[in-house]
Amino acid sequence: MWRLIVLLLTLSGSQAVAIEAKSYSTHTLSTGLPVIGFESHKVPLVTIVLAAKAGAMTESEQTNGLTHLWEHMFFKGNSRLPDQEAFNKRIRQLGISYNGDTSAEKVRYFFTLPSVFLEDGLQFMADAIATPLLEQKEMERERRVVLNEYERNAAQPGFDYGNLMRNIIYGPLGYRRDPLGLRPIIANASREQLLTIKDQVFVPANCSLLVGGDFNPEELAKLAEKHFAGWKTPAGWKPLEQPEFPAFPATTSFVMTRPIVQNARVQLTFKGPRVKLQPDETYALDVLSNLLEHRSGKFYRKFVDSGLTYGAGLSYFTQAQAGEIDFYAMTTAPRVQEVQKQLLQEIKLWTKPGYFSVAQLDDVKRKMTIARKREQNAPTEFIKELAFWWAVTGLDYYDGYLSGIQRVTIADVQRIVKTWLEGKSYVQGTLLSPEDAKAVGLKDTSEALAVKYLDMYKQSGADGA
Amino acid sequence: MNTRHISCQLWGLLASILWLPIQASAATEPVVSQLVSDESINLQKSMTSKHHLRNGLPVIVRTIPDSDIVQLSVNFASGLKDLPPGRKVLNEWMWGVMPMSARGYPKKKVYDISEKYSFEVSCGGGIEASACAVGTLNEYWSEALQLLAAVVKSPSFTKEDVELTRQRLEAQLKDLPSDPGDYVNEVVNSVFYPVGHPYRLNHDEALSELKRLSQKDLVQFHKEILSPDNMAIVVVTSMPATKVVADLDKAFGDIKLKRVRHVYPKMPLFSSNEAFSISDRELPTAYIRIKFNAPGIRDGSATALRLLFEILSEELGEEIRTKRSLSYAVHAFLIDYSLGIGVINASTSKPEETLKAIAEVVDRVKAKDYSNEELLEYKRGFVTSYYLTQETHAAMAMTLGSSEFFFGDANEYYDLPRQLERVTPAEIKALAHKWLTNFRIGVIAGRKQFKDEWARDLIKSTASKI
Repeated sequence: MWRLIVLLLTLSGSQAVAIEAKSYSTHTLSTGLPVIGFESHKVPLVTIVLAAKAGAMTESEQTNGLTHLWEHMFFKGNSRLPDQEAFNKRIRQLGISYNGDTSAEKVRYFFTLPSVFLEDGLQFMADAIATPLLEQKEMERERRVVLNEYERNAAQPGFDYGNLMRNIIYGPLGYRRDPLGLRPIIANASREQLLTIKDQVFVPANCSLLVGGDFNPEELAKLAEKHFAGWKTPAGWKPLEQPEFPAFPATTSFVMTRPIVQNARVQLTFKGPRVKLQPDETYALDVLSNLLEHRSGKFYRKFVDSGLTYGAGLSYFTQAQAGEIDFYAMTTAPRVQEVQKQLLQEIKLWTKPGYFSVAQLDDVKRKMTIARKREQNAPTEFIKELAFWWAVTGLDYYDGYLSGIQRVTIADVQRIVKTWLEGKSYVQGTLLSPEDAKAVGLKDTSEALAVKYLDMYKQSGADGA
Repeated sequence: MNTRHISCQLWGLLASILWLPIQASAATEPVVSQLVSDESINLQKSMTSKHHLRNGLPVIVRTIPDSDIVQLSVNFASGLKDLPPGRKVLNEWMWGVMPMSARGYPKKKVYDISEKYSFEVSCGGGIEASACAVGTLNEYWSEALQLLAAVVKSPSFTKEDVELTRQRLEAQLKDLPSDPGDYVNEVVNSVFYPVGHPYRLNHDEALSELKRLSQKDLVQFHKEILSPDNMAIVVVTSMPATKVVADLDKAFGDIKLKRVRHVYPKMPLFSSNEAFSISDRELPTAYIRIKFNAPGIRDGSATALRLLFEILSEELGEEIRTKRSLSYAVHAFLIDYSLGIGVINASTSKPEETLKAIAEVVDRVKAKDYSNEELLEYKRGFVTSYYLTQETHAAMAMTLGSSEFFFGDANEYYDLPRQLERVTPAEIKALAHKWLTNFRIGVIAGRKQFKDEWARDLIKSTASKI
């Protein structure tokens, strides 16, 4: 049965904004595949998304990076379109704009096309997900493309920095947060490994179909059933078990130097809540993050408006399997040590009365509510957002999000600062150029740590890069 | 029947009538007589109206029914090209300072209002045009309009704001080389634009200008461009056009007319001896960017040229990524200002093979006689992009503002599908021959990984025979 979800929210305070969210509808096919529809008839386009609860979190040490390789193979041949040339031709015929992405906890394949081709689009998606050929010959070609993508990432100055930070935090399970994976694993991937991944995660019981834009819900239900009925979950399928990550490490600091870096980046990463275990904590953290961006607030004035940094803030990325809170700043090398010191001191002030005001809290809640409204004004992007929430948190969390935000009080914000930040261990990374490091008396300490964590990784069974 | 109901009907009509000619055979081989129906184009035009304020400033109002979101954009027909060498950095600097404070709006008040109503006035300077814009809800229209008008007409340019923005811009400019994907553009620009070309901005030069120029220069630049005949306002909203125009007249109708200096750039000349530049950096993958001349957006061939670049990009992707696996990211696109600029991008660990493959693809596109059916496939992809630019208020405002500046008529944009339908295979071939020539190449790669002759071979093979 279709389930319509309508959200009505009213903010407290003088500038109340009443929001009735656009409805989305849900439906389950006979195979168990959920179909989520977001209707918007602004323009005659539809966007079709296939989302999976997969990514680095469903990989092993031996398959790290292969869900991403699978993403590339998705756009190759299938039972109806024998190779990528045929695939590309069909894309042109249907006027499709397409892409896909793989992260630690979700995979999305998506394309936008004129709404008159809705059925063709659904068939196209069903063929691609249910009957991929995953041919060795195509895989040989595509792995070189993926390796080039890997190398593009490796050319960025923050590449090693991010890898080291992740491996310090997650130790031998760092690969489960790294969708790009390790180069040798990609270089040696086999067709059998991809077929195994298909049966492990790309099954209806682990995926959802989302359609946004100009369509009729009843027609969508019929067409989805027609084209996806043949795609079935193997008997006895169970979701892969998720091992617990090791305990967050004791406070660790490193300095990394890279010649091409021009300014300095400082980041302090703390352990954060996992959305499925502590949803209320995530609401308060999101509010905290927005409070720090409030331009009339103390933090913004001190760190951003003063010129002390070129940008500073706190970011919390909502995830189901792990939680990280990143407190960061970009600044010049001569200021880097001062900024590090000030960042740590500032956390202590967040629990003091008067640091955040109730008026600021109201502003932030209004801003987050309006942001939701604006998201829904762009159906092509919104349906992809919805796919993210479906995969990572479940849509109940998404539906209750604004209500959860409304419940947050200043006391809640102060409490989560004490729970997760104040006096807690953290990993601090500083990235700057060797010349700047020398000028301000800092030494690169990343090499020894990198070796240590690479060794740990190798011992866990992976062939390190 | 109230207005709201009529609006719903109009949008229902828009959604249902489009693509009707295709729908009958959509499940098999789509056949198209019109990419977008006349009714649809006429409907969009009927929802777009042009007005003038008492000082002559043009206003475009695009009605989007049943939405309480409003986008207000004040566009200027001035950009980087209009600033002389030595003052180029003012373009980014001035637009960065403007939203920070204005007459009647000290910084604290700007912040308080912006946070209270959850909007932000932002300004940005482009190559040929610039804009200040704000997106908000209908109920905050008045507050947003007043703040935007103050920012546009009387920015404060306080010493504190100017200095803070200078520091931020300096950090941003210094950081440019750290991302090879961005920096390769500057590498190719060094051989594409001669010194003094209106489109040229080099980050080292900009850093030096930042040190030399001052608050007075920002004030002067702002004075030079503030004139109603150098501006156009676009509003995308569900509010009645009469109310919108009346409010805008109060806010912007007092801007005085003055003469604004404009520069009309010429195509950069090609010299095969100065068509290649390399930045020596050991990276896991080489970055290549190619630029070449093309006609501008007002040229009669502009729509066909866009299609040619769509085809070129597809062909490059198919040959270099799909068949040969030489690059993850290879594509071509057209920058269409009053001058056109063709661009090809590739990152690759096999630069020699990639450059050779680019040469082969270019030769093939020049030689190939595309069938009408093949052309139609490429045209369809365009229609998806066409509608994507109408999906959000902000995208719509940007598109209409651009169309108003380049053609003096925002409605010109809606006719794009009609122009596209008329493009023939013969036109594509002729344009390919004429414009896929005289490549300038910028590369970021380690000197040990890259031999100059690989780039020079491609330059030679594409050099115009005239």
